[in-house]
Amino acid sequence: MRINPRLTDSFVRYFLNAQAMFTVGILIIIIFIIFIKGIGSCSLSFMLTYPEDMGRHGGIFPAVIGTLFLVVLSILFATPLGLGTAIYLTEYTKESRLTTIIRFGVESLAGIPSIIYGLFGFIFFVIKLRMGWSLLAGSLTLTIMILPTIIRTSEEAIKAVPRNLRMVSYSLGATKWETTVKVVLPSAAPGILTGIMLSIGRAVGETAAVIFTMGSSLRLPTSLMESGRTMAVHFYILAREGISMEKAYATALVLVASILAINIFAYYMMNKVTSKYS
Amino acid sequence: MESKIRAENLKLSFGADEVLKGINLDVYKNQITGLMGPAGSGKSTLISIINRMIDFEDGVKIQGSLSIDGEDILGADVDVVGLRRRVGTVFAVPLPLPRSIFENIAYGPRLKGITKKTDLHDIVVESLKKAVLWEEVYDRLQTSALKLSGGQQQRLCLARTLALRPEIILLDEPCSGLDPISTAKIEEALNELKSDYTIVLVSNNTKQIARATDFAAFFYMGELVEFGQTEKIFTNPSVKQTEDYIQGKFG
Amino acid sequence: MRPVKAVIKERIIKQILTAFAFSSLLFLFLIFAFILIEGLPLFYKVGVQNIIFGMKWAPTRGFFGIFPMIVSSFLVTFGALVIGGPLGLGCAVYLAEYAGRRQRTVLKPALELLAGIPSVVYGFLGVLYIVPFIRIFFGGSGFSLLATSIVLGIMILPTVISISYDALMSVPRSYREGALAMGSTKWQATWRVVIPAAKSGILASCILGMGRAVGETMAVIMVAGNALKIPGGLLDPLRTLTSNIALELAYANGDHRMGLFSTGVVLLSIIMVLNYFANVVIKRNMSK
Repeated sequence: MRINPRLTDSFVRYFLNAQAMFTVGILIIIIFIIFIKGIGSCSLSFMLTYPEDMGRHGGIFPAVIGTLFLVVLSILFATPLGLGTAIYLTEYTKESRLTTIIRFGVESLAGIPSIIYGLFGFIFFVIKLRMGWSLLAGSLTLTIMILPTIIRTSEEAIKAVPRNLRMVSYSLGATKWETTVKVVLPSAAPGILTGIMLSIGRAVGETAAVIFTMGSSLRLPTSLMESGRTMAVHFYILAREGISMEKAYATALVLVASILAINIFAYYMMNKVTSKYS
Repeated sequence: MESKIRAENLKLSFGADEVLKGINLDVYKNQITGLMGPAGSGKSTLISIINRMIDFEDGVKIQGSLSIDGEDILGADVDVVGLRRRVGTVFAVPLPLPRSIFENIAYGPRLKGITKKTDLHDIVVESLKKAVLWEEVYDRLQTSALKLSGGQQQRLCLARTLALRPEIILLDEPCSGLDPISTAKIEEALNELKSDYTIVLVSNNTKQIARATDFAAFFYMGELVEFGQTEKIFTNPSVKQTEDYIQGKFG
Repeated sequence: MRPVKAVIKERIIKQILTAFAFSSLLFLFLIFAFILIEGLPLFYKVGVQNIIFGMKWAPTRGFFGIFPMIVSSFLVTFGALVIGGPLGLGCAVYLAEYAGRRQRTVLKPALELLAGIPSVVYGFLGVLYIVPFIRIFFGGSGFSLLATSIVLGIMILPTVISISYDALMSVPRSYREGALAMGSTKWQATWRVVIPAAKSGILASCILGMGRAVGETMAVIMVAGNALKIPGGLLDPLRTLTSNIALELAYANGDHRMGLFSTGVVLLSIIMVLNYFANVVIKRNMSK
């Protein structure tokens, strides 16, 4: 008995649709649960108060600051490095064995899991370079981790700038660097910023690489060499040690809400790119 | 008549392709010299050598000499950036930078180091007037250049090169795709400009060459077939090929 | 002398940019070097087979066997693929072939958000909802291979979907139109023509999904339990290579710490092999 192919067709359509809806449903459920369970304990004062009793009471202020410092430092290091690499690969060289090797290096870095970064950061920055568990060790490790993302997105954004625009700049007596800075980068800016935003989102959620390099001190880090916590690390410790489900949910809410906000902003940036060239 | 640009036995090849096969040409100062010929004859290539934009292509070999005011411009130690300020270029497709009209024109002078607002303003006004565009945009200098029409954008590009006070202006098929009125405006601008500048105009349109130039050079397949005063070339060409081209028998 | 100063400035800028570009290679080298420096000695000291095939992990007493963890890593990776693969492929096919423009603008950002949720949050929700669910309906403690596979399967969805989607979208329109013109239904065209054409990309997405799963740490720690034995069944707890490192690094010293780095060496090797295969598969796609 042959099944009518058109019947199969309709069935498949609904089945695939269901799969897609299911997947989106998972996202919605995740956000929903975090929101519902976290909103009770979460508030502005939660984010601005110090934790008490290992986080059983109080807020997460040091973790918020720790996250802020860590992410800002990492972006500060990674952006010039990543943007510079992207500019080098697109504007200053032609495709050659050299560029293939560099790209291979970047892709390989992208494939390394975060626990390995944690291992590396631990042995290299914390131990060998004697930084101890510190903001510096953490941010240097994260810098290397987010570097591939920034390189990739910046390269794409720079490549999308039409060649003609560069030629115009050159014909008006600009050097390669002047053209890059005054014409190429401004046009590529939205794409580059999107990459930076995505990297920020990743850094905020990162735990394995951070906990072994920045440590998990509950104190507010006031210098580069001090340890501290990020929200993700704090959340992990709250959950794993079973300290407080309530506070854990609240921390998760702040975490997920920040990442959502960053992603939405990045998406908005990306749309600006497409509209600019209409 | 003084020679401004001189090509002597200039050859260019792209890999195995010989694009220019030994060009000997004098472009005279303060005249409009037209380069005409069918597509692929080497006219645009010659332009790209004069402004050294050919540097951006790979696999190019150049032989012979090209000099401006008697000084060679092909050498490796030539100040290319400075050269491109002395030689302004208007391309076939209008290419405004994605910024305001004012900033488009001020781009070149800023690179030269001119930063005072008043100086820049004077330059912008002067350039727009010479490019016959001032009347149409004087009240919206801060608006985006992308909002101008094709003909206006092209005159903007002309103003942009004028802002650098070049000695030579190269125009590579500047009016292709423009309506007759815009074309006329550009030709009118060029006619006014030639007293201060040396102008080279590349065009596929023989009628434009006949209208707007003082001297004409006919290129075919990388060779300079004939060169002379426009009037003479168009009324009494010496080479049969020139006559055939002008009459539209091929192209 | 403006031209000369400008030329020198340009040259310096180029050198700085070149140095930046090579920094990626430098970092890659440093990472490999230090992981190997810390991880290899134990292989010499204790013997490769005792580590890779050893069944007992008790580093403070001289036992460095990580075989159960290697097996566990493979098992959770496979499990993640079983759960995330078909679901991801289905979503990708839907997105590429059936979804309207409006649906696409909702679905694509949703996927990126799914990818942006930190693994600790996945692990947390896994512990609070999936683990008890398994405990109640299937038995065991709930901390299990099954729980880990489910959580990891969901986590690799964005990877599988986006790469499969790209692969499907790069199949030329003419393929679909040709099939439809010959009278096949949409599904017949998709199943017989489009998906086979995108085979390499889809395969690559699975390999990369596996790479992601095998390297995942935080979520696994929270839902896998902590058993040092090879799991006998879906409901048994386990410990992966990643969990091994993360659970003990903070307080490990001497040989113990070296054992964790040796674990890292094995993990890194597995990932590199997976990445290599993914690249080979992608390259085969390109040459088609």
